[in-house]
Amino acid sequence: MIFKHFITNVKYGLRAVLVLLIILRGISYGADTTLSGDDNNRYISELITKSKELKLADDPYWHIILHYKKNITGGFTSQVDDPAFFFAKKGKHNPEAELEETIRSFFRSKENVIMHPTEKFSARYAWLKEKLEIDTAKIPYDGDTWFSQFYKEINPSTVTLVFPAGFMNNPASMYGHTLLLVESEGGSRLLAKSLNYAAATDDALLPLFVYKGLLGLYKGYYSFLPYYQKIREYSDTEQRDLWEYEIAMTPEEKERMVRHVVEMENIYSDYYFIDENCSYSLLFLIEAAKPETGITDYFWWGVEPVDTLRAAQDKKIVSRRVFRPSLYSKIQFFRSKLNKKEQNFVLGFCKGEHELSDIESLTGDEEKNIIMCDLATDYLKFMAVKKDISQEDYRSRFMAVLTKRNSMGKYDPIKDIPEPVAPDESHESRRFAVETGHSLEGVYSQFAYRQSCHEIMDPDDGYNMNSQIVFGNIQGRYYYDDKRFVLQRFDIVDLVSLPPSDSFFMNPCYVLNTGLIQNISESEKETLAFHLKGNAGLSTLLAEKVQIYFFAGVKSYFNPDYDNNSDILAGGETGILTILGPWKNHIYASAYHAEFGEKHTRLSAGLSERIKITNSVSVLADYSYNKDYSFNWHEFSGKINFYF
Amino acid sequence: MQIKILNYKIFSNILIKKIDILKIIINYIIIIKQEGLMKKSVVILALCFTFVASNVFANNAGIGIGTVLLKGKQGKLMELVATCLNGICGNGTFAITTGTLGYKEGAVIGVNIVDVYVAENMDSLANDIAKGDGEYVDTLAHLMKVENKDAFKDKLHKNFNNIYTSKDVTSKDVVANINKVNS
Repeated sequence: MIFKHFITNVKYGLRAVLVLLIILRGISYGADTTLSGDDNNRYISELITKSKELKLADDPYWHIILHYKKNITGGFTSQVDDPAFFFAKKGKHNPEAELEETIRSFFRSKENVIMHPTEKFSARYAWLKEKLEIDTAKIPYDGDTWFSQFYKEINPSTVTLVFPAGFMNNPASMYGHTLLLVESEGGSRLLAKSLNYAAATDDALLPLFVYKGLLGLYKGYYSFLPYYQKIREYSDTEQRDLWEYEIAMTPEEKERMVRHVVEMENIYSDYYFIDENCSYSLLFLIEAAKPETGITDYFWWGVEPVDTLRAAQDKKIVSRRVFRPSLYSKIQFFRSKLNKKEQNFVLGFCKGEHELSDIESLTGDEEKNIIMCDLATDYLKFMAVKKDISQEDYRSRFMAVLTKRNSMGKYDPIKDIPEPVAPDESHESRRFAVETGHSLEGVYSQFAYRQSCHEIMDPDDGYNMNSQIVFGNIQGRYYYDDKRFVLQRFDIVDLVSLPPSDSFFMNPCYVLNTGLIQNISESEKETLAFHLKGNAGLSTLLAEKVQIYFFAGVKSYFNPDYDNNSDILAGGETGILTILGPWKNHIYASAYHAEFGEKHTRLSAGLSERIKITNSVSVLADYSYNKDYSFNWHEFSGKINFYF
Repeated sequence: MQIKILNYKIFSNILIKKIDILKIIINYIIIIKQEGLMKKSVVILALCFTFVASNVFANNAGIGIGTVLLKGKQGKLMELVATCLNGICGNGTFAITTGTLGYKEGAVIGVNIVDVYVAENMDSLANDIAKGDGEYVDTLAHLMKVENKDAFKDKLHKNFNNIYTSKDVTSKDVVANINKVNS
């Protein structure tokens, strides 16, 4: 219906709006069964008997299009939660009853119904029609009359899975999102309809929002928008590169997918951030097209959007991968082609310090002039997004630079932008680590598990350089000396955002970490405490892959054994990160002081080295010198990380 | 002793086949309570988590959250309607802001897809026409059902100044000018 509306909104106009509004109010698909006589009844029971003979309720495809998954008791439960999705009362848990009632629903009258069951439940209808060889003359209405016309209007060509990669200022975006694009034959990708699965909410209170999201209290719906709007949202506003994974599909597969899209429209499922989320739900549409892939059963440990890309690659259904750079990536690419003086000229123009007219006097090279113009265009856009420029100034400078650009040649430098490592080629999010080392309490061995997703010292390929997002990291340690097993640390969240700043971009950096951790006490022992750390700072690049940072902030530890139940330290940290191929080096130093309660100063300096062995294995060595209270000690460790 | 219990419980959680962060957090809160850590810590923990997590999810489009649909719009339809309708009032000018124009009842009749497209992509289209090539001008050619794309793009490129006549040019002017140039 949405497709229909989108494509022919000129033709249908208000009528379509009204019709859809009525649907939104929740009118059921078809009035109660209005059987006309015994003939219908006889045919219905004939079909039902046949469906039982063929065991259609156990057929995998029936389970796919109704989203049935095996539950703990061995039965089946559908992941769809909307009652409007089921005809049988217990349809959510009973594939057989649902099949029977679905067959019955086909015999409902078409009168006074906006969408007949054979239209609305297009995938079920098509499949049952084929399996049961339903005689369309014997049912009151054949939904395929509508569907074939509708399908002709969409006329799908390429189907693409789109992944917006993480963006600089917010490590949480590394988690990502996915969209599914449907292009029309002979059309343009910009006009493709992007299918999006999202939670519907009106909660303005963010904490509520997060809790509800984790507990599945939101309703997730599929929605459609032209892709160019999504490009603007992700690429321009949020500075995220887009990765387009084209999915190879035969015409039959495309038709099956579109049928399932029709079914899922306006149907909700409870939305869970961790697994039943945006990316996972889109896979049902792919699975309806390609049931043999079983792609929704690919996952074990929760579903992160990037996992769905790996799943698609693994199932060999990706035919092509396209990189669409964000505004930020474009700006950085143009800058890499210019020297400092040329960059500053562009910056000066964008900030209104001088005109563009003497651009030619700077360099006689036309290609360079073109790059400068393109940089100015994109940087103006960036300023507009950030609201660093008035609409008035933006318009006049934007026109000025385009007029200049128009007088130059057709050389298009952005076509040469190199493709970074794709997100599906990054290391996987779950990590298991084995470590041995020496700490204040003696020699230990440690096992650690991390649920998600990327740490600064993990291989950077496919991620933003030097950012970190950790959810659920747990480390258990065994001390050989006193044969003791302790929980070393448990991070609920551990974020580090290190976007580099310079004359073009000014980005604050921050650290946020909370969880349980072993804290050093005056008695030269470690005690488990609740930990909360918040830092803010700045960072800049010294060379292309050498980054320096400075942080100031507070670390606090809470434990009832402490004075005032707490140990609160304020101080700062600094460090330099260097990447050279598979090798990464981190030199760091920190100083914190506790003024309240037990006074003490904690100093630490060290370095850590990492080598990436393969995409799923890396090794790390770490050394640090530490001082606290009246004692000092060395810490060193060696570690192997496995990503899976 | 205390630590041992803690370890056991948390590890047992990990052994569950489909580990999920939420379960750990809840257990973790319960464990702290049982182990007699101050109630305050629990409250702080909950608050911190909320704070951190809401920051994480709020600004960005993490899992579907950046794309949350507002109720009342009940999704798709209204959003789509808004999408199709933006710009038809004809005052789309240069700006990469979205959705400023809102919904006007009745305005849907007579909408021309080219008008909508140009209004919604003013900046990128201007950029492409100035360069003489690009995805946005290709798409325009497609929408206008142009037969010779290269000649069309060339014509627009050469007439950039006649299409974008001033900095305050509106999308309606642009469409009219393009039609003039192309005729």
